[in-house]
Amino acid sequence: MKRHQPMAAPARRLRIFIGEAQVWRGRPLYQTILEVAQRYGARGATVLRGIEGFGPEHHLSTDRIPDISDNLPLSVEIIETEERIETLLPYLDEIVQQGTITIAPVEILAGWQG
Amino acid sequence: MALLRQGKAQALTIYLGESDQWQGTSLYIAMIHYLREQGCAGATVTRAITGYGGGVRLREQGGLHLSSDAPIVIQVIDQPERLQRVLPHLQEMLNGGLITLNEVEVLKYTHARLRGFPAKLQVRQVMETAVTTVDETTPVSSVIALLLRAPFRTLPVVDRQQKLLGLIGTADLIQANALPVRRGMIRAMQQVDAQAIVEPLPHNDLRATDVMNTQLRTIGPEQTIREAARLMLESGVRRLPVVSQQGILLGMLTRSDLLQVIMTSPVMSAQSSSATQQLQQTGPHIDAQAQPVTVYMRTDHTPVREDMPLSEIIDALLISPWKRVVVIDEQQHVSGIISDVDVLQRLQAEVRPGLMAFLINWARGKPGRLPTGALRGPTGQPRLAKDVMNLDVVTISEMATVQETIELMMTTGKKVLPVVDRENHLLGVVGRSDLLQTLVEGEEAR
Repeated sequence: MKRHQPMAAPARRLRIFIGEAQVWRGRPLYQTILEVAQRYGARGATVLRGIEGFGPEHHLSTDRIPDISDNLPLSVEIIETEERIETLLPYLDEIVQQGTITIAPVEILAGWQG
Repeated sequence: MALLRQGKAQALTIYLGESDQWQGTSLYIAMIHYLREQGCAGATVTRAITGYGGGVRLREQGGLHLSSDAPIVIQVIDQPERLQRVLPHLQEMLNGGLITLNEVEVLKYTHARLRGFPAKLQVRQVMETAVTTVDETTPVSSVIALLLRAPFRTLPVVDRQQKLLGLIGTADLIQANALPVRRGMIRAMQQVDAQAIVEPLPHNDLRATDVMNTQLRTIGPEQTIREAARLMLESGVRRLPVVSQQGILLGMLTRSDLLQVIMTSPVMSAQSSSATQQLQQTGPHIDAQAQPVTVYMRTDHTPVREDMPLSEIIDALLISPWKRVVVIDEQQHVSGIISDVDVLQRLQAEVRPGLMAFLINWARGKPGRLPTGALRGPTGQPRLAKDVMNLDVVTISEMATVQETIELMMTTGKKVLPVVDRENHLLGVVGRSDLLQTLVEGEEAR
């Protein structure tokens, strides 16, 4: 068995919490986020749809109740080097006008390096 | 509703199974209900497509297929203090699942769908609940160490029942002869010269109770932020302790907390839910945060010329409500800004102690004379504004909105901004309190 080489590269996990119904210039915001991420150097992004949640405005949205299921929570995850995240942030900041953005350190064990 | 501030926070991740139950209802629904009830900043539930472990059991279903109860992941991002409070109950509810906790940094947190101006928000929704406190017997030396290091400017003194007894700020320490000058000056001194650490004055046996200010202005958790803003403006304080009817300290509310609310509040617009969209129309229906900064700037500030001698600059500084003066050149362009810290940093090392002594006396209400050495440069010519001014002056355009102005203050850490026109001519000066006025004035408009 091949011995595992420690080759962890320090990186950042950016999480953007938004609502599915949010739009940017007439198009779904999460799609715009993906386009912006790609254009400004993120090599990957993942959009997850939540089934329930609440945010700062404290309105619950859930797929259990049709009336409040039109704006389910979405999270967009981008894992990139600190440098690339820094480049990307101003653009994301501009289009994400409502929502939460968090950042936390992670180590990349497989995938892109540096 | 609860608010989260930018900066350090924690992310709680809970793994459980979709069919897990708590007191007859679905566990994840019960958890979300509990988190909302406890005023958490936000939570997101996602359903994974399959998995095992942590409450999820693999089941065999029809021949070769394994099916599982779908794993549910709940993510909560909030202040560490609030998460610590909800954690025990979540642990109690969870049956065989997993909870992880990690540090995150919140880069952005804006609330959606607030209709219009937020002046009716309650203090408890905005206040800082993670407050460092001291008790009556804490030695003043510890208080000073805390205040010099901490991001906050005031330490509440509480008894064992968390009842608020008093507040200690640097002004109280200066008055008690326990600290020579304000914190910014001490930090500046330490920056220019690590050796110049200001001599701690003798305060051997002093305790918190000896120096604390007991003339307290407090606010209740259910009061509105408009009432809080009015109290701050009327009393001139920048921090209000939030106390219950029983006098228990619940949190602290700062001027920055209020400005941050104004900054992140979406502008009313019929067509758009956008938070920062420019409003084109004018008229009485513009939200205060979208008003031009010129409405709130002050024009009674007298700028100084580049060739004004230092002695006059010091006089101007001492009477300035902002403790700063703006420097303009012959064409009235803004060329710099001067604070007491700027003067201190730009003087040669040998005349700094003299200036410090002067300022220390001033702070104690004993105006003295500035040492003549400080007023002249090394070659004997008088020291002028342009010799001591800070060229790194941040200005705001007259076209900017209140919201943009607050944002610039927050990102640059400036408390006062000169307002300039397109040609960099000085039009006025705007300080943080002037912008706080927007919270109070919205009242007449509505």
